[in-house]
Amino acid sequence: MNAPDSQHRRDVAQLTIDQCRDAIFWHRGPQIVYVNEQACRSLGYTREQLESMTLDQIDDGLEPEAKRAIMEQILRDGSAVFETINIRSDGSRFPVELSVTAHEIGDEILFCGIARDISARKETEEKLFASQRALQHKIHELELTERRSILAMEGGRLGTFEWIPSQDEGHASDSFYRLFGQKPGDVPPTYRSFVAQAYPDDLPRIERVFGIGRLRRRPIAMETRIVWPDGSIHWIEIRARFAYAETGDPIRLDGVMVDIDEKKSAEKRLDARQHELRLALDASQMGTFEWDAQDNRIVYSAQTNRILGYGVTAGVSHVEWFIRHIHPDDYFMIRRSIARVRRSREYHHLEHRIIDAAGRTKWIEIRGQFVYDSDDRVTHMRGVVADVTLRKQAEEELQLRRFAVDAAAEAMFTIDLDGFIVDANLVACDRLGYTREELTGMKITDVSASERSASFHESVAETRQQGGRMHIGRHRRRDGGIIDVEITARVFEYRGQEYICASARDITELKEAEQRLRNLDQQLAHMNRISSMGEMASTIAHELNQPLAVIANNASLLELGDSADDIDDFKTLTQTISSQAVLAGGIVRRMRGFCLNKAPTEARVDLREVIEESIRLLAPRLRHAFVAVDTKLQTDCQVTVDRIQIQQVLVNLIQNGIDAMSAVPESRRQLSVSVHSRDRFIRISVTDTGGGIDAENAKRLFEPFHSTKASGMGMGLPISRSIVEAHNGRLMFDNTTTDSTTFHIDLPLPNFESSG
Amino acid sequence: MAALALIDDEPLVRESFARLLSSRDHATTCFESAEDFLKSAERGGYDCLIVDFRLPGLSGCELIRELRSQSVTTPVILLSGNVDESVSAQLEGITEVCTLDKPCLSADLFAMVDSCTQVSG
Repeated sequence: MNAPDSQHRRDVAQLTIDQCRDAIFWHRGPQIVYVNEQACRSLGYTREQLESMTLDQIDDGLEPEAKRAIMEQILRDGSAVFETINIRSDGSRFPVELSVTAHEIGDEILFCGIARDISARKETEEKLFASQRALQHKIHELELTERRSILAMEGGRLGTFEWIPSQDEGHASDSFYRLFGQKPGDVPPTYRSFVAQAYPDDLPRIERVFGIGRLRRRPIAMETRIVWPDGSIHWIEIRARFAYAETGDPIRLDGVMVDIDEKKSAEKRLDARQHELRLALDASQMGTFEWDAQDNRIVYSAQTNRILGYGVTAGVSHVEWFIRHIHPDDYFMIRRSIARVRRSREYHHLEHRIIDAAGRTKWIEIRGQFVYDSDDRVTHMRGVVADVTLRKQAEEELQLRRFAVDAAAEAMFTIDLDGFIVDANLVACDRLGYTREELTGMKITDVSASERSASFHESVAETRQQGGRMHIGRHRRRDGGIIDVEITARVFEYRGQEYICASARDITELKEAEQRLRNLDQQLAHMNRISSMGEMASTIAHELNQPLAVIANNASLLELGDSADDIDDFKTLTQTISSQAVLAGGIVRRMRGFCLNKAPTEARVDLREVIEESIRLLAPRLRHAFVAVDTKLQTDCQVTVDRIQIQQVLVNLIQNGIDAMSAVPESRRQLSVSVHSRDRFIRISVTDTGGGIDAENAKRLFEPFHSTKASGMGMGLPISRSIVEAHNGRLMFDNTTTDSTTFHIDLPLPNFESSG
Repeated sequence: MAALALIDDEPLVRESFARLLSSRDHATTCFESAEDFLKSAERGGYDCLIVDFRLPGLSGCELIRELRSQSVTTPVILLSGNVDESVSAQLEGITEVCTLDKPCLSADLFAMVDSCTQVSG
């Protein structure tokens, strides 16, 4: 073989090898020594790279165990074909069929592997397997279905039969017999035996259907009744078909019979329900309608027709007929609602106005539902319609009344006799801080801060007895704040049920004003006392100085040793000092007590003490004015009053008396104070001999700032009167005699105070 | 030793003053009111008069005015709890009058009585 020739052949061989669709690897042991172009292409390496790699780097399909076995086979048989997986330079894998042969070249053994990409084949195989699996699954399912239907048949619901008309004989499954209430094989399945068990009324139809089926070659399908040997009647469904000979004669009837008792009784029940529904709809004056999307027509009941103002027959009309009656103001609202319901698949429920055939505006209520097919397209809407005009009018009237009730200035509650709030107006809600919904779930005792459940029932009884009642109470706001209220309650009856209608007037401000007034009164009374005290100041100072002078003088005598030899005299002096100190203390205490500014506190007091205290307080004035005092005090003079205030009234009256008598001769200055109880009250009378009060003064006596005295403020009597009235008493004067004036203070006796 | 007259409406006060003054050997005649004193025959025969400012009926000041109008010039000690402007105003123009707080220290009383009786003679 010459060189060019040899070179040429080598080139051709190389070219062939490179053009080959299979990848070729020559390797010595695992070391790759030569690869062709396809090997480089399929694995994504350069030839140089591959020729420095080992087989392990490109193979991922074989376990070491398998590799060894293949190698043994190659060395034994000279070749092996097997499948493995190769790895590309990018890490991806693909299946290959590898055919490896061993060659002795020189003194060494080289291996030549030819690798074919079998991805496509593998894929096809995979698909094949999958469809085989699916097929097996189907077969399995079929088997299951068959088994199930056999089970069903054996359960007695479905029987199969075949019948040969020419001989009137047949065969049937066991369950077929059971459908007829017989034991398998009891009576042969012949037409005669079938007819014998047919329900007599159904017999003509059975004969007709079988006759038609036979002549016209139609499948038989009918529901009919049969009578069991025990006399019970059962529904069955028959489906059968004749088989014909080439001559055209029927040679066999194959069929199934199904027990449809349940279906029939369900249908019966459904019929009954539909009948009931119709009755209910008629009774409620509801009409029905069904709109068909396909032809846009509405099928409506007689009542629907009547609501629209037409006759009393049911009918079918184009949807436009209905739309024409919609009140123009409601048209768009209805369109929007329907569009929304159609999307959301909600229940369509709407109240709107229509104008009926006679032109009257009516309110109707529509309830309906769209029906969708399997592609989610609307096919129908079914619904009911009712005339709610009267109800709407009543509601509107109620709404008007509600506006009026809500607009009321007072909080108003409607309460049932168990105390539950049935209704409350806006003022009530706002004032108490609840919503109407919250309030109407509560009991009145929940918002009343003054009334407990027990007393609620008492006050209900009282309100019922008197037909109405007014009282002062307190309401508790949601935030805990307290409102003083004046409650006017009355009982009314509605549909055989009694309710209480209560209006609550907020009198918090009134109460506060009263309180302020009381405070003001207290301040004024105090000022009056201080002012009285001011008038008395010089006399009181003198009064106080007298005992103090006695004390000072006696002390000096002791100091000078004037009584050193006489123990009795010594004792007299010291005793005088003590008693004069006590006297001085008493004056200071009375003064201080009288001038205290404290809130009125009522307590049980003996009026005699109060009177004596007042006279004692005024003793210096009385003495200096040469006024003689006499008192007529009965033994029991217990009343509940504020001691200081009543003393103040007495001091005012006695001072007035002293002043009134300044113009009369000293010998005739006489002040009398007496106490005696009358019918229901106790009366203190203060009489002076000051010559009486003239008619002009008498009229203005209790007016503030009216005074006949130069230094007088003119507040003494007005304040005295308000104090007495605050004690539920009266302050009056008696001017019937010309030379004297008597003031009466009437105070309620404890037992009668509550009724005062 | 002087002859004194004491006019006060309170018996215990009269008694204690009288005892106190007698300890200094003064002879004290007591009167319950101004009117009583004016009725007495010896109203001009005392060395010094001790008069309470506040008396039922005629007041202390009115009594002094009345005496002066009758030309009785006996020095007067006016006992007063609190001598304020109103008291001073009432005393305006009246001679031989001095005021003494009531109650007072015995030493002050004695000193005042001494000074009054020495002046008068």
